[in-house]
Amino acid sequence: MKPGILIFFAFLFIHLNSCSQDLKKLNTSDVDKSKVKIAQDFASSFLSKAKNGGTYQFQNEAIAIVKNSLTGETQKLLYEQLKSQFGDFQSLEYAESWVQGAGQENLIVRLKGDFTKSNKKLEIRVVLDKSNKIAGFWVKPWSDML
Amino acid sequence: MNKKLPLICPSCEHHLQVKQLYCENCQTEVTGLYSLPVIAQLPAEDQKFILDFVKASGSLKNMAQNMKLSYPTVRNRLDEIISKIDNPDADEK
Amino acid sequence: MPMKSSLLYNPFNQIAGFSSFIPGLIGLLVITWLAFITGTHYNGLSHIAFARDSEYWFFLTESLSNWFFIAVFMFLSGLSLSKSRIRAIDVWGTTLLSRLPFVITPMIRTLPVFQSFLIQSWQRYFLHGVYLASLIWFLILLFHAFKISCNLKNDKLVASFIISMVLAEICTTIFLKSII
Repeated sequence: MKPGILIFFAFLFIHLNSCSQDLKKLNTSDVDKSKVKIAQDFASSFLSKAKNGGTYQFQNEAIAIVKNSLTGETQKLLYEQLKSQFGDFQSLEYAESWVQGAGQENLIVRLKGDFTKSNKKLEIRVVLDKSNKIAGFWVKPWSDML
Repeated sequence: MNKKLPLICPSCEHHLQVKQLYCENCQTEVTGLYSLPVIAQLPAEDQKFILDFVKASGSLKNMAQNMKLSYPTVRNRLDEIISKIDNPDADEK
Repeated sequence: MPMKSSLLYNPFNQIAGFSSFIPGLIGLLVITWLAFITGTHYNGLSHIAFARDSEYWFFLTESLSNWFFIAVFMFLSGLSLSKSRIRAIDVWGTTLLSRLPFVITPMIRTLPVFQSFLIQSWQRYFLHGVYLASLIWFLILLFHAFKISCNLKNDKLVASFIISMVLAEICTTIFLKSII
């Protein structure tokens, strides 16, 4: 019985760890600051423009799917929803970075954002692909769990 | 040797009453039927508690300190004894 | 006869009143400080979240409201149902002291491996397991605290304990949601 229980927990442990092989947190020393700057500048610019009633004009910094999804109309709608729930965007700061994929193709930059109506910080998540193009963008309540 | 005063009938578990009293000095015997005082009908530990309560001048706080128990524990114990005194028959079973 | 005492699950035969309130308050402040530095949110009696996302005052409000509502409802239950003259300080102090097991989870979170992790990870399951154990321990302590400080027994004790917990959970959740 006891060896059986031990094997079960060992299997569970291995299984749970294997689920997370796709994502890995980077140590501060391993983080490429230039990439973080790209993500930070984009997020800050995007939210600041939306706050001032404008829209962010994509050049070549994002992949096609992101550019096509975040049209001017969509950006306005998204910010309205954000504002009604959390208030106006104030500032953001870098929190941590993760890499995704077997060859670490994608860099997930997690930023913490301050909004006027919320007593809690929000997560502003920017994903960069291998060519440092923006491949994903989310705003959600912050959690220490990814 | 400390003898325990029996309180409950070993046969039918009813409260015992006093039938005979004896004077050690002049060997006088008094026979009748007397109920034990209420306090005497309580278990020994409850009687000790009451004595300690009186010696502590009725202060539950002092009793709690002396017994190294918390105030509500001592208060609850007192309330249980009060309940037994008020409903002696409830204890028979 | 006083119930069996144990420092682990029923210290309240020996400790109540101010003797429980002061250490309980110190414990609450320690738990709050650890929760703040590790981002461990106690969002109500039975819910935990991991997010370093708020100022210290928010964590303090969570800690105080988690204790306050349960203390109030238990005190009201004691006042209305108990035959004894109960003291508020006994209810407040013992309920406060009961929360000490909640120090364990944020303490574990001070370890680097538990600070930031995946949803599907052993860290998450481990922390939730630890939290569950703390919750069970807390409930045992709280039950004994309520029993002794309010001198309730049997059906009255169990029913009023459950009702107080449910009402406290509702009030705590509503209150904490309103300040987010």
